[in-house]
Amino acid sequence: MRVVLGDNPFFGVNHRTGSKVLESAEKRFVAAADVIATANRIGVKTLMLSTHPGYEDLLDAARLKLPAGHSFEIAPVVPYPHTLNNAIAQDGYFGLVKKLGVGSLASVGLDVVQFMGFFGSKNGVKLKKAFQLIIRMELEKIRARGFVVKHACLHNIITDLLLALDRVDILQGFVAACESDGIKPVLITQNAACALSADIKGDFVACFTFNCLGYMVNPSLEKVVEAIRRPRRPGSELWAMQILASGAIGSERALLDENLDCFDAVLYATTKPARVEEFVGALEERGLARTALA
Amino acid sequence: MKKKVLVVGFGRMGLSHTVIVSGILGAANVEFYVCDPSFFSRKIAAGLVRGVQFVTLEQLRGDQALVASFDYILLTAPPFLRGEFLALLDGFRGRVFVEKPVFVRLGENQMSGYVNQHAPLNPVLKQRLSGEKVTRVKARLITNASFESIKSGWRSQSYGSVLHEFGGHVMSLVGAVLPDSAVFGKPVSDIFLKVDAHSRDLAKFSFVDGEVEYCIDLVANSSEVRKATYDVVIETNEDEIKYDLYSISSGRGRFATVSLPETGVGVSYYLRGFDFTRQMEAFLFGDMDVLKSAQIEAMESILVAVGGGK
Repeated sequence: MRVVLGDNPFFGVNHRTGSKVLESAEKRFVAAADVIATANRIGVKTLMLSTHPGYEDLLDAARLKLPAGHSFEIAPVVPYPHTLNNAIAQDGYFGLVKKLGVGSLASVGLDVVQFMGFFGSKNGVKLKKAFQLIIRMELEKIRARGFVVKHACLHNIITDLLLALDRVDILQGFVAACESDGIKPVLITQNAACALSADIKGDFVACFTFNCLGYMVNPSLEKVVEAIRRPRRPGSELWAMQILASGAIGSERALLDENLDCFDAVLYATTKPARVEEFVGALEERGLARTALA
Repeated sequence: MKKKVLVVGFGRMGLSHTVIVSGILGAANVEFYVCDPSFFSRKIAAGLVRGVQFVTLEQLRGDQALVASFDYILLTAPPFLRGEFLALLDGFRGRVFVEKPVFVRLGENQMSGYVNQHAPLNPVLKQRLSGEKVTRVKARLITNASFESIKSGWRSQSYGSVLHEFGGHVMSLVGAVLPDSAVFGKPVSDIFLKVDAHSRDLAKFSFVDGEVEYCIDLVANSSEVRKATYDVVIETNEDEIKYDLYSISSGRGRFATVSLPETGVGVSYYLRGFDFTRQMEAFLFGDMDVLKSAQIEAMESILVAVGGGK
């Protein structure tokens, strides 16, 4: 099982406390760069990174701390929903159109026109080109800064919106967009049982909250355990996030959970470089212990 | 049998609640109807919601049987349009969800959109406060959103301010956790309302209800936070209890801090937060609002008075 670095604390996202005053972006990103450099040194080579406004500054800070020729991977999370939400709140759906830009929309015109129902599509609407546009905008920025991209992650708000409306065809469009760019799709969800029972074709990663407390494990820990223990198609992966339940449990207790054996990777997020080393050490010990048990 | 849901106003909140309802009930178990004059909104609904059907306000006005056929109605049109629509629902037996602010006395089958009433830790705090004598409540909302910067759309008008977007959220949260069900029980003229500041991005006011002093601070356009955050401090004779929706702590160390993750909370379908799903569950098959309609009406009349209205 490998470790993927999470970015929540770099942007002040915390599911344990509601009101945390943010430090300046400069301070947060310098601290983040130290965490990323430490992670890279001990073999944690991937950061799942939400495309918050200004995330490029974090990459610029990290680039300064990484060795030349590094192969550190950024797995961008797209789109950033708060930007879209604010655009709609301010100017309605037309605000969203303005935000995306007329030039950008022109390139995905047929996709959007079909989505809006002007021309029917017998195979269902997929929005593949729209997803390609959204992904490529971020890929360009990330690759221009010398980072590798092997995965693109769909934000859980979008994944879960589409799952709730049974629009697997549109999720399939995201999978297809990633495939055509040679990267692996990651569907982030907070409704794991629903996502794992949906009929989504192709090789993809399902990434969701999993912890032994059941915090944010929806609809229930029992149902998600049942879902992750079902046989999987080759090529599909499971990544667990929030295994420490936002800090409510320690890594020692969290790693005792044998259900973690069902996962290919776990996300770990911290602002302290030493904690990355501690966590990776604990995970390695767990691996040795599990191997011995087997 | 499929449930029939009418969504009046398919903007941001109409979409959000539609998705949560679909997630809770299952897309195969619900039929959505949308009433919205906006071309873009109807196209977004058509693109996202399988089998969605559209109705016009004129159709609803002229066809009582059509209105009566719905199990649930989500009224998520802008605030100034809601009164007219609610007038059509005389005798409607299904449940009606009215997005906040409501500005009407809700009927027994009507529920407000004050989502913070449904925060999962509220009952824990309410239980903790049971038997305590509350003397003062200080509640603060701080958000990075700016209302001054909204120059178009209905939010650029009188309802687009931190007072109306968040004032009711803060006060309904306070009302939902206090054990005294008499909170917000008096007319504005009897609560010694004092307004210290009011603009689109700032509102500070206080009032006295019963033996409790309430101090409310609403601050928008702040770079200190990433999103809207709530801080409530409840002073009692014995303690100073802090609550931020995620944790409850004692200022005097009288009890161990309770954090949301430790409760292991999960919901039937998660989209924007536990509170949004719990709100829709309360609407679909639960007890609707935590506050009484009269309390919501009184609470909103305080906000209107702060804004300079009557």
